[in-house]
Amino acid sequence: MEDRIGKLLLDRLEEIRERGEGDVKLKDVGEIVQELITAIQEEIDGNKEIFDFVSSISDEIISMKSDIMSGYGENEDIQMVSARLASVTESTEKAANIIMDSCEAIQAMLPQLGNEYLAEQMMRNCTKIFEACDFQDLTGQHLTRVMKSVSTIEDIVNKVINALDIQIEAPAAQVDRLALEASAKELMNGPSVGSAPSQEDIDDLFDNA
Amino acid sequence: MSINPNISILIVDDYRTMLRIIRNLLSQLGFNNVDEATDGMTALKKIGEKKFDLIISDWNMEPMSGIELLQKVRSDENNMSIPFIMVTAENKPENVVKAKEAGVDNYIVKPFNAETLRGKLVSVLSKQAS
Repeated sequence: MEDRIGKLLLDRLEEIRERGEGDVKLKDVGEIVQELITAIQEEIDGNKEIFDFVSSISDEIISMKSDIMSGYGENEDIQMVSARLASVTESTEKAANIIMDSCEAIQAMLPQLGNEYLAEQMMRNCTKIFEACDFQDLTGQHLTRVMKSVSTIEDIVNKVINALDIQIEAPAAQVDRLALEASAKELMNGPSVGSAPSQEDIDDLFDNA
Repeated sequence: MSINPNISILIVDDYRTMLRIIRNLLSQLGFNNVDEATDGMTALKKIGEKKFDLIISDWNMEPMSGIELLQKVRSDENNMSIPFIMVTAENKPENVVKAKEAGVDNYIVKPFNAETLRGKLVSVLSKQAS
């Protein structure tokens, strides 16, 4: 902005000098001032447009954040959401352990069953149950990723709010970084979703790498 | 091919649920000489104290990841030939390539089943025997 206004001023002065009329007339000063005011006004209008645009984005994000938080009560912030997700992970771990305890108890009793075919079938099904218990590991990884994403979004929102010095009624919730980082450390990278490569794809890739 | 069921196996995963699942599946396959570690650093310490015939490791762990563990093992002349299987949810092609370049013997994607684990074990251990 300063460069443009400065150049405008210098150009006008140069023009007056080239005319060789000696003293700068009051009329010229008036014109220069008017031109400078117009140029400054244009700059301000341009910045205001950007400011208004970013402000509207911020308002949208703040509004979305309020909508998300509304389901968790007035005093609960994103930290609480993270705590709830961590609690889900803990609960699924507990459930997985109970299931595996029961499976192991069944497996231990199989030799006493006295029916080899039945014992084999039951062992096979116990194996399937064990295999399925990896839901705890995989859901834990997904939840950790969600928690990290929520944290990142809030971080961006807060940065925008601070950068634009936007005043909002309630200050943005501050995430407990340490708690999030601790949970994130448990599993940094979650499993892929959607069209993720299968074991066969991985085998092909591995064999040809 | 028959595999000695007494081989010593080290499983490494930061999720105890996964350790337990893998241990149980190995037990059903006849392998009961199994040790556990919850991260690469702990695993490395165990590898220094005991001779293992196979390492099965997760990728994402703190403070030392599975890929770092693999690199450490491969750079240690006393342990560089231990078969190493990566069991992980990290199925990005670049990760598979990175693991192979680091010297991994096989790569299992989570979720997996007992049959996949058995197949990879046979594949890795038969290569080792030949």
